[in-house]
Formats: sequence, structure tokens, C-alpha cells
Amino acid sequence: MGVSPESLHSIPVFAGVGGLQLDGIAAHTQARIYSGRKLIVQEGQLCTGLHVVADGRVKLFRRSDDREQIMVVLGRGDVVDAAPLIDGGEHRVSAQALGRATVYFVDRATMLATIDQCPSVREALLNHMAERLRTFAELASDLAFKDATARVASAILVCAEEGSHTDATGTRLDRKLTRQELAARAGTVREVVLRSLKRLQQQGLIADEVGQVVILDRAGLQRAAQGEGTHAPPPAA
Amino acid sequence: MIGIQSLAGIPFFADFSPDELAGISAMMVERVFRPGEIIFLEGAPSDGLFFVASGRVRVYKTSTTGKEQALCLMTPRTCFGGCPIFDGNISPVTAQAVDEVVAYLLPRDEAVERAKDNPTLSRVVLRILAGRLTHLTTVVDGLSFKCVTERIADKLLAYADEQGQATKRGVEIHLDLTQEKLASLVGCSREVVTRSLLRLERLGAIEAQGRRVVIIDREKLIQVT
Repeated sequence: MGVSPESLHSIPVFAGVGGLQLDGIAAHTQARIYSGRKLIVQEGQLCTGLHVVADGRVKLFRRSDDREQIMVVLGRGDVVDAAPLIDGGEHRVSAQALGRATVYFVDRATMLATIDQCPSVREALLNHMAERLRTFAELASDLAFKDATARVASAILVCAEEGSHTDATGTRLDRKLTRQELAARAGTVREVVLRSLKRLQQQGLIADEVGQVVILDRAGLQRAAQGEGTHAPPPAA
Repeated sequence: MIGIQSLAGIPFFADFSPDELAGISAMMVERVFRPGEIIFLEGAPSDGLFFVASGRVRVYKTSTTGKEQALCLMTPRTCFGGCPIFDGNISPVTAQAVDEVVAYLLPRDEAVERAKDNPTLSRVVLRILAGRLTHLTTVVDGLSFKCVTERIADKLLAYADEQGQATKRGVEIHLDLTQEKLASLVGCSREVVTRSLLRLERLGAIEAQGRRVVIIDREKLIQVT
């Protein structure tokens, strides 16, 4: 499916590109719709171009045996994995839609020419890469320094930022968060997530209503997310 | 003044013409750091992009209780400090000289302005950031998927490749980082490092004596990782 220059313009990476140049890129851009298990990019796969999230949410993750580590969850306008576009290598992460997502794809040759020609795209990509680097460095430090309960607390807060509404009881996440997903976000296993959730409930910070997490005390949960354990994160099973 | 010959040896500048190199070297400042000296601190504003001419630099994050998590060890002809200059200007990590370090600094303002206006320089900087991202994914892998003994075995193998010396009994590594630092590299306490080294020793993979570690059975060590 093709993409209009106007739609492309609404994506931050291309926001500073104008006129004919934008038309040229749009002519090489495809809109792809993903849902279910189909991967947008796969770890180990050669990079064929730039993927940008146009609508919906996309998770970036790494897998090892049966464990999954979510690196970051992307939203509208976010670049999927530009590193191999730049260095010509393979994707180091996999990307999959959470629910249904629309992704714009621009082929590699068009992107490399655009990077050469458009200062605004260069600037946007530099900013994007630096920001992603910061996100990954934060993740590494969370995994190294924080205990599992703090990481689970932090993952719940991030999910709340992605979509939630507040009622008399507290802040309700818009969608059901599975133990599996929480484990993948927090870098641990399901059993540990269950224990952590129980601990956060006992502290009165969250409630668990038939699998739906409700944040009762946001400030308290934020403090819990900052907490540092006295020992290393639990090893993979 | 930094000679363009010195720059040409740095892989990131391989694409540059002598004229471009001359332009860039004119913007750069040479900086010398003593062993142990902090080059920049986590949370402080960034000076710019550093290219290592000689010596080694530890890059790490510090927790609020003072524990350290090493992110990488930069060696000559690599670059560090690239992240904050395009993103809020606050350094997310601390960089510390391990030995005496000579580094070329491309000051922040020059790096930002030039990268926007100069496609070649922007590709170089993007490539640096891409390499750093790739490295961080493996750090996250190690932290997320591997147990401590696996991570230590992994680190020992990396050290052996980087700086090990072949001896009769096996490849010998002199841990120039203390066990405390090794602990920070793999994200655990010093006691856990000691226990893990002991476990590897019992397996017959290594012999550990103080800061000296000999890999007596590389295959066994690889099997652990």
C-alpha cells in the first residue's frame, strides 16, 4: 500500500523534508499492516530498509531459548531499528506488533540517499540513535542494579504511560497485561513476577483485579521502582 | 595540532579525504588523562566526542548506592562520549582513564553543527552510535539471560582474547581490574565473583590466584557460557 507525502510528513524523521524530495521518498514508501505473530524485523536478518511505526505499538525484543527480553515498546512515529541501516549489518533485535500496527517501510537505497541529501533527516536520525542508546543504557543499569520487584514496578509504570485511565479506585491499564509480558519487560521469569506482584499488593501499591493491574498508589509505586536490591538480579532459569 | 595521519588511523575516519581530515583535525583538541582520572561524570554536561589515541577508558554507570555497572572498555582508535551531544547534553555514563590516556576531543558544538551539515561526518557519528547500540544489546543479553557464573566465564574469555598471554599451563590473564570491578562488569557482588571463580576452578576450567587467572581448559569455559 502506498503512502501519501502528507502522511510521511507526520513522521518526525521526515518532518523537515519538503516538496519534491518528500514526494520522492513517499513514492518509495510502503505502508504495511501487522498483527499477530508476524515479525516486522527479525534478529539475524539483513536490514532491507527503515521501518517506522505509523500507528499502534511495536515491541523490540531479544530472545534466548524460551526467554524474551523486551528492550523497548515503540509508539507512533518511532523508528524501529536503524542501527543496521547505518552499519550495513544484521538486525540485532526483533520487532513485533502489540495488537495491530501500521508500519511505514522505506527501502535502504532510498534511505541512504536521503541521509546524504537531507540535513533534517540526518539530525533526526542522530537524535533518534542517541535517544535509543540512552534507553538501552537505562535498561542495562536497571537489570544490573535493581531487584526484580523494582523492575516489575517500573514496567507497570511504563505500561500505564502507554495507555491508562484513572477512576475512583486508581489508575487502570487500558489493556490486560499478561505475566509473560511483564516478565519479558522486567527481564525475569513468570514465577518471580508473581512473587513481585504479590509483594507490591501487600504494600498496597497495586491491586490485581482478575489479571488487570490497577495502580492504587502511583507515588509509592514510583518509589518502589527506584528501589535497589542488595543482590544481583535473579539468573535465568 | 593533531596530525591528519593520526586521524586517518581511526576507522571512523576511513571515508574522509585529506582535506576533510585537515578540517576536522583543526577542530579537535588533544587531552591527556592520568590513570584513574575521571574524564566525565554521569549526569554532567558533555564536552563532545572523544577518540582514544592511546590508553584505555572504562565506561560505566553508577547506582544511587555507589555500585558500578561497566558498559564497555574503550581501546585505542575507538570513540566514546557520543550519546549526550545529540540528546539533552547530559552524560548518561561516567568515563574513567584506566592507564594514561591520550584522547582527541571533537568539541560538542563542532560535532553537532558539523554532523548536520556534513553527510560524511554524520555517517561516521551514526556509525559510532550504531556500534554502541549493538554493544549494548549484548550487555543487556548478558544481564537478562545469563547467570552470574556464565557471565564471568564470558568475561574471562573476552579478556583472554584481548590481553591473554600463552603459558605452558594455558592462557594467563592478569586481571587489571580488581574483583570489585569484575563484579561491576557482570552486575553482582564481589562475594558472588569469588564463589563463581571457585566454581569454575572446581570444574577444572581455570586456576585463580589473586588477580592472576589461568584458563587451563578453554573448551570447558566455553561450555559454561
